[in-house]
Amino acid sequence: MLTPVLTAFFLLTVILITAYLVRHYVFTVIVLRAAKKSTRQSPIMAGDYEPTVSILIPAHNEEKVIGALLQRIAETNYPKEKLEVITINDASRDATGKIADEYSKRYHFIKVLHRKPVEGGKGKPAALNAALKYAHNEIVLCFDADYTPHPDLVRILAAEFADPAVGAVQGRPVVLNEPQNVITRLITLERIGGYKIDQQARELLSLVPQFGGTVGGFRRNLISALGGFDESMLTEDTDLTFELVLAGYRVRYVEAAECYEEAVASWPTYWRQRTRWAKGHMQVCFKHEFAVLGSKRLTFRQKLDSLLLLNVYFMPLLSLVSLVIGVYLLFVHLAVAETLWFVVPVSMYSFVGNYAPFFEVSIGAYLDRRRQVQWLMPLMIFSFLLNMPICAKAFLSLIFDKLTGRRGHWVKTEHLGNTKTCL
Amino acid sequence: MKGRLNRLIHHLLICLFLVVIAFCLVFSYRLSDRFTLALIVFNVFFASLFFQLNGSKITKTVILAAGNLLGLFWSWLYQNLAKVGYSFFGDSSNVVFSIVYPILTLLWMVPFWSISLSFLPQLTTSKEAAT
Repeated sequence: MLTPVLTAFFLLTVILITAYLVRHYVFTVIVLRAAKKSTRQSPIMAGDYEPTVSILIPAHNEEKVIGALLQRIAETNYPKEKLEVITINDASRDATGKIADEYSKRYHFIKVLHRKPVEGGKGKPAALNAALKYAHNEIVLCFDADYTPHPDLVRILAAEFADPAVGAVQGRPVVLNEPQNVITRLITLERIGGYKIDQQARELLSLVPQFGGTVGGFRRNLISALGGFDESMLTEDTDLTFELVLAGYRVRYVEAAECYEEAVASWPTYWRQRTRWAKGHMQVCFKHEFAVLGSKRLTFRQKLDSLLLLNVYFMPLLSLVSLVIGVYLLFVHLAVAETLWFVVPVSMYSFVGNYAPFFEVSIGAYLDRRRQVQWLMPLMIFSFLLNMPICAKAFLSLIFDKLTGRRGHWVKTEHLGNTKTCL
Repeated sequence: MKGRLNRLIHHLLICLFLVVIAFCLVFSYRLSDRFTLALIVFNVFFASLFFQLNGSKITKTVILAAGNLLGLFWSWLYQNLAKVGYSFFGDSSNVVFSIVYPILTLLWMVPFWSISLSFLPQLTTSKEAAT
């Protein structure tokens, strides 16, 4: 009785892993072909459309990075009369509020919203919701405090909203502190796989690019209609993506809108950040999976891609289970396992988050002209080994939350300002 | 005349390396069909993605042939280890070798893939090529 059940489960996981492999193979081919042609021209040229823009910067204990970001935003070439910047000093215990106040005095378009410990420090969605009450402009862009935007970025992102069907726009985060250590280099590879290939392919194929919560924005009226961000979600960005897509709006990915970020540089920080991402993504999956399946607004291809996207953080867990079951089935000499076993270990060289296999990431690094970092591809296995327990912990924690009614709490990622030396 | 001769030599070299690849496939099949499967998967991925990148066909074919030779050598080494394991531990060692084989295959395939990309010049878009 046990063996047939395990065989069925093994077959299911092999099918899922193969589906992801095929998906990412197609993505790689599509982006490669597009890269050989001249760069795709956006139907809307930057500068043609300049809506009023509110930039929201949630900041909780970000004294090491907030000044650099505000300085960069002050240097943007977007018309200042169409711009307002709201820095949310979210119950910081350091000098974040003081630094933001200094910038607010120097630049009239920069405002600071101070949240006291009683109301603040409850996570990014809560901070954004608080700031949305004071945002007056048509388009809202969000930046995490560790980002370094270039002067054209706001213009490029805002121009995409000329199309009324576009509900949200996502730019491309690029790791700036890549040379710092092996963790930042691995995250660089992960980001390349996730954005250079994955997001771009989804954009080229008119699938569902993902709003990443930073280096991107959305229409203020849409978020107001939704009643703001869902504060129970740990990945409010993915939640918003599906809220918008299910409401019939497009999410666009703009490859040219590059913005530089500080990647986490230690394993404990990596662990905490990825656990939140995994748990949040699983929350969104439970919330939207059936709505996506039943949606009449999404095409078959969009539904299929959305389902693969929603379930991506379950894959390390399923891979772990299929590895264990596969070993058992090989010991009992089951022909199915002997034939299909070779598919399973490919998971070990697939970056979690977008489940990008090694060939996709390396082609992305090649297209990005980052030769040295692509030599670290074999180290992807460590990322996978770490992400198995991360996803398992996130899943168990989510189940525990569901059973006990406990609310998941936001774990803030610490930013150390390590990008300063890279600029 | 010289250009035509060079082209001919290039084509002959490409043919030679294709023969090397074919030899690797045949020889791997004589070792075990799963070794051939691994090489076929490698060749399919490599040919469909790698050959779309910049660089001369001859360079890419040489790299592909080198990958096949490395894969064949790896498989041969692996089979000999499996034989030694079988003589010491019997049937159970075969299962263990079946389990670790795909993992060990990826251990040569992934580094080879990432290093071989370094041999190619960067991709130029048609726009860049025009300028």
